[in-house]
Amino acid sequence: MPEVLNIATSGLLTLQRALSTTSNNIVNVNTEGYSRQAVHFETQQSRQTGAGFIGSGVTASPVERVYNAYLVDQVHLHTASESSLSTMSDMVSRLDNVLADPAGGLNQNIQKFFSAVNSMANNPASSPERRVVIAEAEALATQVKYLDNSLDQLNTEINNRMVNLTNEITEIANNIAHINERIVFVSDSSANILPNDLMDQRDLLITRLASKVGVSTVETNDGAVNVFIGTGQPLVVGSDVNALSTAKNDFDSRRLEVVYTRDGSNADITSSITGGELKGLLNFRDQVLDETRNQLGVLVVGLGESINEQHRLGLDLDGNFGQDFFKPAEVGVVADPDNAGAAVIDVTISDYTDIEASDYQLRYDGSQWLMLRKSDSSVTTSAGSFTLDGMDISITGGAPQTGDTYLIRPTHGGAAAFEVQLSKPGDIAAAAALRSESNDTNLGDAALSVSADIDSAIAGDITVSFDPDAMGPGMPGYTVSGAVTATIAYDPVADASGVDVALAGIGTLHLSGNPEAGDSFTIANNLTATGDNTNALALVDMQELRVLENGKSSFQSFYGNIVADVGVKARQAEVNASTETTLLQQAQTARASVSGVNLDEEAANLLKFQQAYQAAARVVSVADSMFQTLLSATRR
Amino acid sequence: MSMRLSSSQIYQQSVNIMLEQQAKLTEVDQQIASGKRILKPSDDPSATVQILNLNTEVLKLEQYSSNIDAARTQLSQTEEVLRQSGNVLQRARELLLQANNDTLDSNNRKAIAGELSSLKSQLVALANTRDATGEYVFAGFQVGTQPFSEEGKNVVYAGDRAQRMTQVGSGIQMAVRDNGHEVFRNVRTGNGQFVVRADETNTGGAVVNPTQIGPFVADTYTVSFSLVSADTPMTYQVTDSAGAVVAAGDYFEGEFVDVGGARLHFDGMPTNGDTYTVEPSDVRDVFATIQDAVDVLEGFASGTTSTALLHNRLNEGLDNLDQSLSHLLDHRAGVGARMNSLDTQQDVHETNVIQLKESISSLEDLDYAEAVTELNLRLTALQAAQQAYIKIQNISLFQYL
Repeated sequence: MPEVLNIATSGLLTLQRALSTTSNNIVNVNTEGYSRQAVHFETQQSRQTGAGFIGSGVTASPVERVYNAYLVDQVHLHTASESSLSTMSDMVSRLDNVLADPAGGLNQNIQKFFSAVNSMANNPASSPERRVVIAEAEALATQVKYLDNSLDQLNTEINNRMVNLTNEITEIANNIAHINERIVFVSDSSANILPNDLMDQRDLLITRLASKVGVSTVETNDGAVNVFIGTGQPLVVGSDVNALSTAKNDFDSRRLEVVYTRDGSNADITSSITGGELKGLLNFRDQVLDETRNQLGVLVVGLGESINEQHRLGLDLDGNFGQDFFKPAEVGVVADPDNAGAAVIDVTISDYTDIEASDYQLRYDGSQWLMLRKSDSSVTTSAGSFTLDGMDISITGGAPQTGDTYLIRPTHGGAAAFEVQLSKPGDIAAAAALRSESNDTNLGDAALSVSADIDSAIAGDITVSFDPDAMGPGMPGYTVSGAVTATIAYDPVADASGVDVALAGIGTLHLSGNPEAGDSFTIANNLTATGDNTNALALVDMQELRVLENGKSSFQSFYGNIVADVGVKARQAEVNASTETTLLQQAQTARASVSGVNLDEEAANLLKFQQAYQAAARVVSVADSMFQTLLSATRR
Repeated sequence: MSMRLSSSQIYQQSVNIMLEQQAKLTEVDQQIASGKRILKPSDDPSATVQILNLNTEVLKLEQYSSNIDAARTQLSQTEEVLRQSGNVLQRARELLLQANNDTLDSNNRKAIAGELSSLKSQLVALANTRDATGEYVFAGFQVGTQPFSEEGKNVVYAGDRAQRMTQVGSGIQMAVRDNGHEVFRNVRTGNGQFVVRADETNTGGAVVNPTQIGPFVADTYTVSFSLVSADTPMTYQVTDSAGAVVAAGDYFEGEFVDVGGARLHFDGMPTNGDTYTVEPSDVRDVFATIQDAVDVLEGFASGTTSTALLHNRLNEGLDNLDQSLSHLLDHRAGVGARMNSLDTQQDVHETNVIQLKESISSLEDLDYAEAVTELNLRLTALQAAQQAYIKIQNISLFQYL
């Protein structure tokens, strides 16, 4: 009889534990990170009697959480990549929105500028129309500034988020380390008694950490979990934490890098960060923001420099040669603060059609200079000054030291520095520099026109006269005299349909027709030609010229490419993010299918355990009635 | 075995589906509100770029059209000045024909000279025409400088020889102004190939009338008449610029002399020693041509010019004037042709703009029927998701406990 009572009591106690575990599951149905818990029933050790082994009741295993480490790791992994990809997608789509201007954005400003120049060409002496050219140029510069500011704001936001993220990561790491400490302290691994709730909390913290930065984890024998980031940098080891922070880039103070501190020494681990929001931001910065900014730089540097070049060839209303229309582009050169050598690096743009949308790293390796183009990692070597991608890189000054490094940015600051330099309408050089006139007494029908390629006035009139023996007896040509002297071969028969001849100090002469001996032309400075629109029309022509990318793109087609590029990247990022979101949801479902609480299941368990409890209680009452029966049998 | 699901996961899935449907609904809603299929470049990157390029093309063509409007204004002004100048020259020609008539006395001729002078001034004024912005139309690029001014009897030109061009199409430029040198100064003399002049010192009564009988062999020829005695016929001799005799013979009244492709008819008798030259045509401005006639008429009136020389000079002047008239006519025809070509060009631009705008519309405009169908589908899907959520939420074993 006492056995019956004992057995019933063991049942009651065990079932109470099962019921409270079930209740705990039910109330934690919505608790984030909660793993359902379970108790397993085991028989108590049987008593050996002569009649064999007699059962002595039930006992419960320690409460354990239902858990699959592999599935939890999958959730961490996908949380990190989903967070990285959706951060990327969010950022690109913001840039996409900046460029989404139904009126055409910068493209329209470029068009309006050239239209204004075109209208000026219709009426070159008019001040109002010249004023409009400057106004449209300023509107263009404003739009460029707006785009540059938008990019800058994104950069500032990335910097701010990087500061917050590294702080949060360090804080979460501290919390994990703290929980590690408590878990190690309270665990009794030999008795398989584990602090389930602490372990759930730690998993939840690791999931939150993974949304900030990609992590990998290793569980140690004492129950602690070590957390690694990047290419294996330990973030949490047991109860110790190595902090993350940010620092300014050596070459660009407006750019933050991720710094990892271990044993008091700092390391830049920006390039090894793998997942999470942090990686999403870094990817956006490297793959979209920098490139878009550099491409915008290629566009405005090419636009400004080519307009300037043409503008300097013309004459303004006062007969002076044109000044730079836009502020001349400058190449940014930043020396590494650690450089020990005395070399002086100076970079200028020599050919704007050739510049690439990339930053460059110039490094001295002890015997020569290595120029790394960051966009495709190609390396050019040189012993001294050299020319590359439309830049003249001049290396002067003292001896360089091995490892001296410079950052060269031809296009990065292009948009920020883009502004209109010309302010007076009359300073627009709409007229050609030189004019040519045939002599009234010419007998033949020869014609001469000149395309000047000079940036200062010629010293005096130049006479070009035809001489049948200019190049020697019987060899006809033109004799050039005056400020420039030369002889030019010209065959009145073969060349009558027109030839172009380069003439140093002047430019190009276009000769045609059939001159008579002594026929001559005068080339003179094109003064007071206020009605001349020749240079204005040459400026208008720039719109259609394929100036950029080595003659592949016009300004507007290049801008179209920038917009398309960002659009394609935004689309791609959105697809990637949504795919990864699905994968994350699957991983979460898989984990939940093992560890999540199902209320129907718990309801069923509740009924099951309650009925068993009622039955066990019934056993107690049976034991009681047995006892009473026995007592009443012996009362007499 | 079917998969075990956790309760919160079941709810979360329903919520996710509703959120997704809502996002899609909002997108269609935005499309309908804006009427655009593409709201940002990523919606359709390649179409976005096409739209950018097409819009650029439209703006470019519209600019060309406005250039053409400006060009037409300038050309029609030129055309009008050329028409009026033609009228002036036509009047001058009538006057010269009148003056050539022997029935006129010297006073009549003096009056004609006076009218010719005023015609010349009218012509100078026309050549100095300014446009609406005050620019001189015929000054080449020197639009701020008055191109023609009378200095004594001469009219001097201060403009240059440039021709204002304008962009009327992609890669197509058209001249919108002609300079004064080309229009008023660069006129050939005589018949365009040669000019015949009677020497100032001639005393005979022969009036020369040249015609052309073959290609003119360019050179300066001198025809000299000599009468050795009254018994022998008048002889003539033609020498070239080198002094070589190229033709010679007897001359009888009413005969002609052929010189290097020119045939000189003489009306009346020359006297011994009279010479005539045949020279290649030169250029002479229209003002000088009129001034020449004025000079001859005034010289005749003052008695320094013989009747024969008057006729010779007026004939020469008429030739030059005819050259001037046809020169102006050529220019007017050229301007007219350019204006026609502008009209054609503008028509092409306008047709292209319409086509481009259609292309833009087909790329970026929303198909409303499609969009509204899509909107209804999304609404239905969202409502279904919401109803499913309510149903699922109601099912729980706890309801039966």
